[in-house]
Amino acid sequence: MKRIQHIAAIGGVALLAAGLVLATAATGSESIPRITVTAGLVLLALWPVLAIWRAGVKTLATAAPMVLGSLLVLAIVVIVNVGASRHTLRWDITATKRFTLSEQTRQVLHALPGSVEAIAFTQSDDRHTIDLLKEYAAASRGFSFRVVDPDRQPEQAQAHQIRDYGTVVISMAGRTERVSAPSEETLTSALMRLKDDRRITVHVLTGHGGRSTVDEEKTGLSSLVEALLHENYDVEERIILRDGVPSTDDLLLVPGPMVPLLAAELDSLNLFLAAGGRALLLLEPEGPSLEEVTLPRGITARKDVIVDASGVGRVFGMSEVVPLVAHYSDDHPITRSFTAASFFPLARSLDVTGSQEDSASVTCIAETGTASWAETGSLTSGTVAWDPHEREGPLCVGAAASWPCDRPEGEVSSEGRLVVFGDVDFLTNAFLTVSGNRDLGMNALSWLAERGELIAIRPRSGTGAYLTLSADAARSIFLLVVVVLPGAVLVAGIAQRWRRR
Amino acid sequence: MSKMLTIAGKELKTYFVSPMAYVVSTVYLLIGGFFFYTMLSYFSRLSLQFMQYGYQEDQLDINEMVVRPLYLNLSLVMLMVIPMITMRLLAEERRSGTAELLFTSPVRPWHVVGGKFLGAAGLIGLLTALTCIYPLVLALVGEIDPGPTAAAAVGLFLTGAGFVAWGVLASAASENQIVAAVTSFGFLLLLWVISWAAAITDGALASVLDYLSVMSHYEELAKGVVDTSHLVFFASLVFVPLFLAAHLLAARHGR
Repeated sequence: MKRIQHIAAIGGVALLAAGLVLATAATGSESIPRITVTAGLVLLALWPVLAIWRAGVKTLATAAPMVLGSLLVLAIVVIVNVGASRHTLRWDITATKRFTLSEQTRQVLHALPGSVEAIAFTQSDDRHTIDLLKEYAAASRGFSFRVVDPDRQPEQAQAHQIRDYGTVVISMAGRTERVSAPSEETLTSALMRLKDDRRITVHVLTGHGGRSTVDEEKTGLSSLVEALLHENYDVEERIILRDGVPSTDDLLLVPGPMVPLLAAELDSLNLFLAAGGRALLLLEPEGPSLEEVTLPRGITARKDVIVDASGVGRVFGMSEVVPLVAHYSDDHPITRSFTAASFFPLARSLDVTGSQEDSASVTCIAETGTASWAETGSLTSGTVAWDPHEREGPLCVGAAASWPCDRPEGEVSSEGRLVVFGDVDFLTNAFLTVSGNRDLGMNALSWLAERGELIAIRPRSGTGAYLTLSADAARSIFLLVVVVLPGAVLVAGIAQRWRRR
Repeated sequence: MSKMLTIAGKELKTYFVSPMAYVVSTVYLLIGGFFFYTMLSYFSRLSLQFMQYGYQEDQLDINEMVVRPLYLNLSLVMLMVIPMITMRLLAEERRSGTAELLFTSPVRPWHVVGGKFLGAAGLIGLLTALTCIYPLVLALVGEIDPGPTAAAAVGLFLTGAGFVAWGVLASAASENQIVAAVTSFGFLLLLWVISWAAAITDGALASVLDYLSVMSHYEELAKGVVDTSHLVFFASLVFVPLFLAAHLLAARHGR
């Protein structure tokens, strides 16, 4: 019996260890580690039973009071722990309260209409994301999260189309939102978008040689459509002359028209915007500038192509006509806290001139670097170089305007909104997933739709202080903690032995 | 209580009469010191790079980058040394035959179990106190946040106390010290890594497994978040094995 007890203990530990190693090694089979761990647990559970048996409790009469008493006490312990985990008091004792959620986030969590599940596609050492999600889960019983390592569970990452570590997918009642750079600001904004159950349709203008929503080639927009459907938008193609302009509750997307719009179409578009409509214009250098629509709102698309000679794009395998944009407006909701670089292949520059008619508020939201210029000559003949008459960077490549209108205040504010980018390629299948392109486009659409408008929450950091050690200080610390302190304890031990002898 | 404290005092004294306390403390401080020095050196190098490239210093947090990982590592080292501290507590009494003597004296199993636990926990308290030298050094050369640092140290002691309690149970169930140490180590490892299993499960089971993991609770304390559920968990972590050990002894010795 004694031998069996020892086998149960050592065998149980060995099986448990083997099971955990197999589970973490991602062998592809989940059943083998599960069986191994279960067998280990059974053996370990057998060990105290055998210990009690050997202790002399061999009859039911003697065992019953002991077992029942133990079970009762253990049940009380379980109940106390369940209660404690459900009704907690929590104190953030850091000096900067870095683990305390803002009042804004608490209100959003408090008003959640259903349970929300977040999946963080990251690794277990991503403390920033996991700590943040823990605070959300602690603040609301309706919020739960789990961490999925994309390397160990690639099938789950694939199912959610995850391309970057650190992406968080949040779901509620069949709707999902994704956050690629988790912070309290972006997570709470995503929650607000999830709560917004309006069905908003993105009407894509067709019939002018622009990019197609069904084209799955590199220049098409099928991936953008997929992303829009993922973010709970509906997508429809629209010909203004046939279908008219959409309702002001919906959005209009103009995907790089190559043929000028007719006067009647431009008039309809202007009326749509003046009535509080929202539109995203993606204007190609070779296409019409649509200045009849943009100019009254303080934006002009210039006839040029931006060239970026900084060489930064080359690091990412891009050429000089794919300018890198890494400078965004901190004042505009679309780009506030936006840090990812974005790439705009063959883009034209924009001018933010100030509004002419509608007293619009205009902001340049994305700019190229100082090493760029607006090339007005041909890109195919001769040498492409900056000429004195050409404008130098930074050049505006994206601008947003809003203006007051008569639209009744409801779920959205009484203003019209327009976002213009000097490029369509950055949202095409070939470039959508490159760096921050997708997020920038989605942020622009969220702002236009007033869907969980990106709120401003100050990021909290720690004490934040440099600490540089001189060589002498580093040596002294090493001697103290690695030599002197353990050495002193060892010497005390030797002295004790010596004294006893 | 006085009987329990008498046993605890005797137990603590035994540790310092034998080489056990000195050897364990030396190894523990050597590993802890090495961790501390490497983490601090890395932080210093990172600070230098931040200064050179003009990054904002608020992205650097010595508590998050040195104190918290250091204490998490120290608790892992504790997991490895505690079975060595606890393996002889009750197993040795049985093997040498002094258990019968102990239980014929006017002490209850609770006194024995509690006393043995307090004695070993006293040694863990001493080890934790010695590790406070690391934040003290940090405070001398830099700026640390005292709240989370204190929480990390208290959490280290609570984790150690919980581990000791499970070690007492393992020692109570076997007269073979090696078996007691191996079993205790297995239990502690399981309590530490059970949250890994939570990561590959869903729903309520994932929540339960995560709650049972010592690491989940200690990580929160070490970052400076004190939650009543963590305190209740650590209290249960100590109480349950001691309760079972006392019951086991009571059954064995007819008390």
